Amino acid sequence: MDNNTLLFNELPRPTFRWLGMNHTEDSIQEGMEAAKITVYADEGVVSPLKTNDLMKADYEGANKTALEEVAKHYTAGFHILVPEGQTEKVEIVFDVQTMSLGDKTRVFIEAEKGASLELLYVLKGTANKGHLNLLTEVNAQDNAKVSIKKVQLLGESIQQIEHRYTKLADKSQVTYMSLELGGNDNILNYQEDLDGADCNFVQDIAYMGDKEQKFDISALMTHRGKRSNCDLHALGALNGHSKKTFRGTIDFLRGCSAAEGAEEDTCMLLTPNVHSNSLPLLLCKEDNVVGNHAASAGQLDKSKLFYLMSRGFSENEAKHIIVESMLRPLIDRIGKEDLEEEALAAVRAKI
Amino acid sequence: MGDKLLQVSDLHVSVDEKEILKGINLTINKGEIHVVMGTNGAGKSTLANAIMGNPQYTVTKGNVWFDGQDITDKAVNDRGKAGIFMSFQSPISIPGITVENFIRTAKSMVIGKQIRALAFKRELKAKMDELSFDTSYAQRYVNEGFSGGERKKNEILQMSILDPKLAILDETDSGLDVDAVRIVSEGVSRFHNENNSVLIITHHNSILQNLKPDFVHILINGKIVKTGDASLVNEIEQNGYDAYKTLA
Amino acid sequence: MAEKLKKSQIADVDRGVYDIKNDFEYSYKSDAGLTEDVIREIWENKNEPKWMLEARLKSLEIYNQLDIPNWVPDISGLHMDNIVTYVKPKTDMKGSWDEVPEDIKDTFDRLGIPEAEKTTLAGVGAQYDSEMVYHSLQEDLKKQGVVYMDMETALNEYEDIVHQYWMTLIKPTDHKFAALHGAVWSSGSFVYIPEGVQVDIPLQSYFRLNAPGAGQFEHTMIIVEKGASVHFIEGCSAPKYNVANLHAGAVELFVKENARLRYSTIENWSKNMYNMNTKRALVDKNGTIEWVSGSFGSHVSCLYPTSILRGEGAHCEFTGVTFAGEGQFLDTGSGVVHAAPYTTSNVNTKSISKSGGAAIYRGMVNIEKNADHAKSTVSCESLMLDEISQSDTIPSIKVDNDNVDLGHEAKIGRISDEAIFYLMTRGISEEEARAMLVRGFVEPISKELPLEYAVEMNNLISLELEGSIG
Repeated sequence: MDNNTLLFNELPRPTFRWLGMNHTEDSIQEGMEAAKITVYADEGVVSPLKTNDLMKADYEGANKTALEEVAKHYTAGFHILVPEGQTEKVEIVFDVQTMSLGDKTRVFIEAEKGASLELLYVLKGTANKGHLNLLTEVNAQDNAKVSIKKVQLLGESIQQIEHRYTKLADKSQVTYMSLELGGNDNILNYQEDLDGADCNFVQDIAYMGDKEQKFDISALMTHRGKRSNCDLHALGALNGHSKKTFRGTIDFLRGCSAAEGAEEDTCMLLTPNVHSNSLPLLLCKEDNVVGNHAASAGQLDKSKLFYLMSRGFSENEAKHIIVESMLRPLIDRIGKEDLEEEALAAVRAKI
Repeated sequence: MGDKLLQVSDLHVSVDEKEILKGINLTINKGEIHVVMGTNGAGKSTLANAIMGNPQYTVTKGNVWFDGQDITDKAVNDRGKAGIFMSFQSPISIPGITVENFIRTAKSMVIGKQIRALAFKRELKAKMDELSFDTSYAQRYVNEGFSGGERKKNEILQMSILDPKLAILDETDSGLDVDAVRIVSEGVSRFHNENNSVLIITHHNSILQNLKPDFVHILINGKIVKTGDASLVNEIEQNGYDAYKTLA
Repeated sequence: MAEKLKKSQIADVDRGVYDIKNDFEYSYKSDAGLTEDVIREIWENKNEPKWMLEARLKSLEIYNQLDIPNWVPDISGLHMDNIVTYVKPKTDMKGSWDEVPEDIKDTFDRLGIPEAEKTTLAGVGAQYDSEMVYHSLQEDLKKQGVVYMDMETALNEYEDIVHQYWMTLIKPTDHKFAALHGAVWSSGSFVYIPEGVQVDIPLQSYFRLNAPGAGQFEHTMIIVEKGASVHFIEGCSAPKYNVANLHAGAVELFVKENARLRYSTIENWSKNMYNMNTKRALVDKNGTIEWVSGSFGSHVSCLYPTSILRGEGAHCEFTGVTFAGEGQFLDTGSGVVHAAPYTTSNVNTKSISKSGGAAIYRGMVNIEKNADHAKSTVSCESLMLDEISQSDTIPSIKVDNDNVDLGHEAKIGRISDEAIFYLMTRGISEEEARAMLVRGFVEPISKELPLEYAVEMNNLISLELEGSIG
């Protein structure tokens, strides 16, 4: 462990040390310049952020140092405020064209009572060196609806560190959908506090890895609210020498009566040199809950492959179809045709 | 006849604070067979569950008397022990507990003493044969992997062994093929005698092929709107409930 | 056999041999902690070969260097700096029947444990002469070349074999308690099944565990040669009571080509025990290891029987149940390393927690680079009986090969009201309905146990459930 090595995505409850899976050792890649960011929104919805404090003081993000970097020294900060009862749509496009990317962007979202927000993040560009450090905080008040979609098409050598903290109040609904296709070293850390009664949280993370790509995903969903509900699904395929580590934790705290939580990690392995790690934790201190988790890893479904090949497709074409058919439903949810096509092309290029 | 077994008076029942039964009056004497028919959502299953004492059904008004006792506030198992049996519409599966073990435990609870294993095995086998129920199922977990028909047979098997005073059959015939309905119907007919009573909730007359109902009640929107004899069943089969809907 | 058994009960009363031994052991006493001298003394008293002293000293050195893993449950009640008092054999442990906690005595009575066995299980000294009980059994097995004896004797009579395998599977460097075990181990079982021999009756360590010095740092070594098979049963379901409260045993199992070993345990240490046991199996080509593991006792447990499938087609079957009640923190699970092609594993665990107890499933599946066509299925189910208890599932899955079929599933929940209602409509009381459903929940485990154990386990569950329903 050299001086720059940091521990990322530490497991909330560590396990056998010799496995080396309690955290991921990594360092923050060097980079200087910010990304070119374009925000599309109605007037008055997005304003410059004016704080260095965290929404939840003890949130540590993917790594404390990396989180502090973006929380205190952000290169761009946005405050998205959707007033009570209103509906807004925001799109934030990160264009990374610089020679030495060192982007630190912070987005703070407040959805007031009954407000509704749709946010789309697009991350793309030709920059091939450096890192992008993104912090999103979401405060979903009573009955608020927040939907965030993210399409990540960064260059092959970029490091992406994403921290996201979400707090859900009574009857709020938050959904995330992300397509992680680019970047070399992707460290994603998501934490949700399901504080409110009847709140609902749904997240789908899709990834497609090839070459030396890494996806290090950490999710912690804490249930406090009665009848709160969470559903997390990580889904993806690994090609080349790529690697995925999934650390997902559902934590049922005492009092979250009638809460339900489910998490699933499904990984399709396309070549012998890939690595798939999975740590789906269920922590439970409340008896009246339903908790489920499932993890699976394996090759393409042989019977599907056989079926397609019997229809005249080559093995490679058949593989294309199967992987595509797995990711397609998520791609189709982006809701912007040109972006959907771009994402699909990125998937195809990787098989 | 005239020996009251079950008396339901002005029974109001709510589920999740929604009133389903709105004042039911029903008297079943020993030896009688009653049939309750009605539209979907009329409250037929609610009536069955309320008599059985399902805690998810709240009695907001009225009483249920059974065998001379007010059982309105009695626990479910006490009602079971007192001699009420309900055949469930969709019986759940219980992994880890064998059919034999389950029924034997229940029987010893009902009669209040331990049962000799061998004698019980013999009785169980005989009853299973009567129902054309594969005896190897005795060693399987209750309803685990059973088809719809096998689950219903298992209910009738339990009924015939527990030998209740009142058997409530909640749509026991639904989802069954012709042969299975016949077997169930024969099973009920074998069970029935002048000392016990049967309350059948159904949509069809096929379950009645071996049985002769004494009374038929039409339940619509939480109320019994018409009581008649067996001929009512055929009338409903032919004409439906339209004529009675206005009565509710 | 009957006569022999009778004799063993007489030996029960006549505690002469045991007491003499105790006096002898009492003579060494050290408050200076676990030192080289203490280890040397243990070694000298045991008349062991020289290499064992070296092994013990090496382990001690490692023990002193290692820290306690950061992920284990709170074991602050265990005074590691005073560990020598745990090592110092037996004197303190003899105790008297009066000192045995009431709840344990009560449990003995309710489980119907015979008087003679009670005192044995309570660790108050009276014990079977295991050699006698097993004498006739051994005659039969001997004809087939089977060796079944206590570890100390084996170290003398089968030194070469023991030396060859000794702590090759559980290395002192693995963790602090493995190192401690390597330094201070005593007693345990040694089993050797020669090539092709099928042992039909289960071998039970039931009595052996109650031999002097046993039950705390015992070492079990089982070698099943090519094509042979055996079922070994460790422990029983009545609580074992010991004044000293650390158990750091080691179980090393070697399953050779086409061999089969079933290793069953019902562990029910008294509820003051810290159970830091290590169990591993190494399985060769087409061999099978089957674990059946029940954890009911102890204050804190860390127990993860691990199978290393190193031969092509090797198979592991793990069936486990953990029941944590008041004041218990049972961190149990299993590990499987797929280190060869076509290896398969099947892990099935159930846990129950009630009255503030914590049942943790901690698992590990590693599919290594060369494990083409490996297949692994893990299923964990947890049942919470009240809202003051805890139930966690902490699995880790590492896959470094694409040609695998891996599935992991876990569920947490409570007994459904629907199921209770269904049972109650049949006249069954709520208490009995709950007990039946809990027994049904663990039925897949109990059916894997020999009948007498299954019956005892069911009784135990009924006892545990009593009074917890309200």
